[in-house]
This record gives sequence, C-alpha cells and structure tokens, in this order.
Amino acid sequence: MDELTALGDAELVRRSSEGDSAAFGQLVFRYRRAAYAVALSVTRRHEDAEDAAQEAFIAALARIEECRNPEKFAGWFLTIVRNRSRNLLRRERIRSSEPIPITIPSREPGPEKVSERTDLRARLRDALEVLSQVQREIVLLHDLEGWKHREIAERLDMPSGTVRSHLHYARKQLREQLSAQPWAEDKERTG
Amino acid sequence: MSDEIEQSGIPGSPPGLDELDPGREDVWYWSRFQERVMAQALPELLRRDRAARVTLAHVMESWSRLLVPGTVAAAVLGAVLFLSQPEPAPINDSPVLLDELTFPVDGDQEGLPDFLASDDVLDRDAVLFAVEGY
Repeated sequence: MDELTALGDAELVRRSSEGDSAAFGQLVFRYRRAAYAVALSVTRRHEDAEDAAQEAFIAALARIEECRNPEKFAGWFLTIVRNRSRNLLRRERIRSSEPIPITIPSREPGPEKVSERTDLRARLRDALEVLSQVQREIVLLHDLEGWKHREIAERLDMPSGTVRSHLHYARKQLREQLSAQPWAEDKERTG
Repeated sequence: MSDEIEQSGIPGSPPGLDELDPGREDVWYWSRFQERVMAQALPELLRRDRAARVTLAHVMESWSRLLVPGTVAAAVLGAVLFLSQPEPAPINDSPVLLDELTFPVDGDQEGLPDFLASDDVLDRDAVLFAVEGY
C-alpha cells in the first residue's frame, strides 16, 4: 500500500485501466471523501451523496480511457461525481416534487447527544441551503475534506482567486447562519 | 487546515461542519464505502485485467505466428541450398604445370630437339623433318 500511496494519479489511472485493483483501490481511498463532499453539495442528502459518489467511481473506471490528462484525474473525476449527482437529483425530483432537505446519516450516538446533534444538523442543513452549489462544494471540500484552496483550484480547474472568493462568502454566510444559535457560540468558546 | 485562509482575511471554518462527515461517529463507514465500491468495480477490473493479459498473449501469439514459419522456411531453404550445391570440381593439374615440369624454364635445353637447341642457323629441311617427319 505504501508504494501505491507514493504513486501519482497518472500512474494509478494507468494501472487501473489495466485492471489493477490495488491501484484503483488507492484512487478510491484518495478521493472517496472528496467525492462524497461534492455529491453532498449537489444532492444535499446523505443517501444520495453516497450513491452518487459510489456510482461515480464505477463510471470513472468504466471510461477511464477518456481521462486524457491523468495528472488531473481529480478534476475529471469530480466532474463525473457532479454529473452523477445532478442526474440522481433529477430522478429524485421526478419522483417527488417536494424539496429535498440536506440529510446526514442517521446514527445513534447516545440519548444524551441526540437532541444536540439533531439541532446542529438542522442548523447546518439550513445554513448550507443558502449557499450556491459551487460555494457548498468548495466549503465542503475545504472544511470537511481538508483540501487546501490551492488544491481545490487546481483540481476543479478554477482560478485560485475564485476559490478564495467562494470560500470567503460561503464561510461568511455559514457563520452568520450558525452564529445566531446559542449552542454554536458555546461550541466556539469551548473550542 | 484553515490557517492560511484565515491569514488571508477569509473567515475561519464555521463550527460543526464535521458533523456532515459520515465517518465521524461510524469509524468503519469509509472502510465499508471502500469495500462497496471495490465490490461493484470487481467485474470491470477483472474484465480489464483479462483484456490486458489477452493483449499480451495475442502479441506473443502473433509474434510466434510469424517467427516459427519464418524459421522453418529459412531452415528448409538452407537445407535445399546445401543439398543442391554441386560437388566441388576436382583440382585440375594445369597442363602448364606439366609443361613446366616437363620442360623446365630455367634455360635447360635438354628436352628440345637438337635443331632447336643448336645455335646454328636453322636448316629448313631439318625443321620440316623434325616437325612433319619427312
């Protein structure tokens, strides 16, 4: 696995195209969280984001020869994630005309935290709803997945200044939305 | 992660976004995610692996398809040429050599007819007699 970790995307793409499951596994490992973040920014539902991200990996493998610049696999792949997510969202909308709220996996952290987390998720959902899709994508890639803004710019093929601008307004809006809540202020004070 | 952003005047990371990470509480979430993707990708990976191997085998087969008949043809041709080559001609003893043996050229006049060996003016009748026998 160490050898694969050191390999660049281009070599992993080449090996994956020849059916090397370890190389493809490394690509999945490297981009699974980013795929989920981008999918979540589009679908706004955990289940859909999960499905779209998984489908995107399979779709990417099936047409990996179309990745003409394997060094920029991330940008190419995240475009697939975005398109898959939109298609999935379109299908969902056809099935139901109701607005789709952002959801996150239902987990059982313990009775004492259920209420707090439910509130937090509800606030996050509302806050993210006010952002544009690209702002959601950038803020999730940066703050959820840990990508640097330079990485986002490079991988999304977007000027660095644009990324910083989106991130600036996304964070500002999120903070405005979330800071109105007493729990958020407490959380910030306590770190 | 947001230090460089905050230094550039961009607001810091809003609190609570990590709540959206499905692996935050479920530590095995991403492992299961990976396993599911790999399970779904398995048929395609196997197909590609087979295709890559078939391609290599195909190249080897094509190569051998040309090489083996070529080698056989070259061997047959070589054998035919070898067998059809005429036997080497026996070394002919040059008549010149015999003459040289018979008539040394070192000035020895022993073999010459007498009338040729003589320093005298040639007698026409003697020459005719010696050559034609009359």
